[in-house]
Amino acid sequence: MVTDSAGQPLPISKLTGVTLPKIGKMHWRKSRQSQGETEKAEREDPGRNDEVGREICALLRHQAARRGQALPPGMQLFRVEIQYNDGKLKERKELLFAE
Amino acid sequence: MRNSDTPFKRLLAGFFSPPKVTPLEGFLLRAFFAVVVAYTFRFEVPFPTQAHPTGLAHLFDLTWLSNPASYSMFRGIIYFLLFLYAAGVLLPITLPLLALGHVLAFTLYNSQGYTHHGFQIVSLTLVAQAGTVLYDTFCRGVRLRPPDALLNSWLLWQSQVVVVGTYLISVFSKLINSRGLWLWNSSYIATDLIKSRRQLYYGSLDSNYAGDPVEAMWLLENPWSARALFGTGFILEAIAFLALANRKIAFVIGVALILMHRSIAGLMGLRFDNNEMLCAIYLVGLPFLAAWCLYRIGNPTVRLGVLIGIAIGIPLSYFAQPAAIQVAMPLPVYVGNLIESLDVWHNGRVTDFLRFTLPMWMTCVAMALAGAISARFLGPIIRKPRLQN
Repeated sequence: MVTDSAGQPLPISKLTGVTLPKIGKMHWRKSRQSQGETEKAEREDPGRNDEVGREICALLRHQAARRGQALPPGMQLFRVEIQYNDGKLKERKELLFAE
Repeated sequence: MRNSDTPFKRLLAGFFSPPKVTPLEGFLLRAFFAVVVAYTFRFEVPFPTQAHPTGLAHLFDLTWLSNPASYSMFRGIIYFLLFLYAAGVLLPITLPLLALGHVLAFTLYNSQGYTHHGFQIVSLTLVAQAGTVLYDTFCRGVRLRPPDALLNSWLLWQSQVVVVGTYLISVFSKLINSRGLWLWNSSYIATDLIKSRRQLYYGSLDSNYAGDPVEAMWLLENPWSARALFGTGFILEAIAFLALANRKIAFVIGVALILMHRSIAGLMGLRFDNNEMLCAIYLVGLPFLAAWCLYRIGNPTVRLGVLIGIAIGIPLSYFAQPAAIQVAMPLPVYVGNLIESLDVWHNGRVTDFLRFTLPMWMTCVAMALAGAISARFLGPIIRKPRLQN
């Protein structure tokens, strides 16, 4: 999920043409590629997360600009996990990067 | 094959003989597929880098496609090649170029760090058709005129192989990735439905996607029903190859696959436009049905007149559009927008679609009538047409 600095979700697909699943795949692939080895990719490096986050935000801003849109400063990238336990859905948000 | 053969023998025999394709069906197969290929080029590929190259992007810099001027010229060439392809001329040249062009554009698309396999079925079909034509050229010599009955049959058959093959690959990848437990674990797919729905909502803030789908919640609470439902789709994908046996089975499987994609779109919001369109063309057999209808016109010259009338009617409908549309878009853009209006396949905005395309339908009907009447009276002095039984 991509939010503004206050944590409000941004309609990023409409603004950039890049969907959330694509952003998720991009983050996973960039993180994995930078670490070189698949095993290491299981343990995420916070420093590299920042680098990947900056790259993704730059790409999103570029795509938005091509569409004549502007993204707010201070964007945040969240990973959202959904779990189903005891008949209830739980959503857990983890901040990956904040500009 | 004898009539006394058992159904099993008849089914088996179907796998070893390509379907018979008339020249008119062959033309309609190419024309319909050309429209689908043009439809896939409605997107630009606005990526100035290829930071995560895949396939040919390892060998070539494809970022020139992100330049709007270059892409516009590239797309113009593709449209011209598609026109030649639909007409059936120069296939040993046009098909390999089309396949290469499609692969290049969507390789850049897939070199951004995320994969999107929605266009691969179209690229693969073009590659298969190009391979078929090149093999035919190798075996029987260069043929630049429209394909004969044998080549038409093989083009259809190989395209069907690609379409059903993509579903078989999906079955194998599911089994391999889940270590054979896909069916058992399929009850958890309902969580994926909810995840996809929430991604759609968070990515668009469209209230249509707010809240969790009731169906997904029900499936979460009823895991055996979920396994039965998703298992049906899994089995359908596994037996899709039976469509190669004959047209009737292909029709049933084609319709079933389209319904499966529709239900996925309804539940998860995931689009499979290209798959659905190729199923409609190569499995359901829309070109076959259209050709069958046109062959009801007994006189071949009149039939040709109808076809020419329809072909002329499409661009001519530009002048039947309201002045506002003529001012807003030049003729080539108008034809492009007609192709893009196929988006109704997914968005369901039938009223908007009809409002925009109604002048085209009316013009085509009028021109088809004019073509039929002209052919009826001018027929005796026109050369014998090739589009006949």
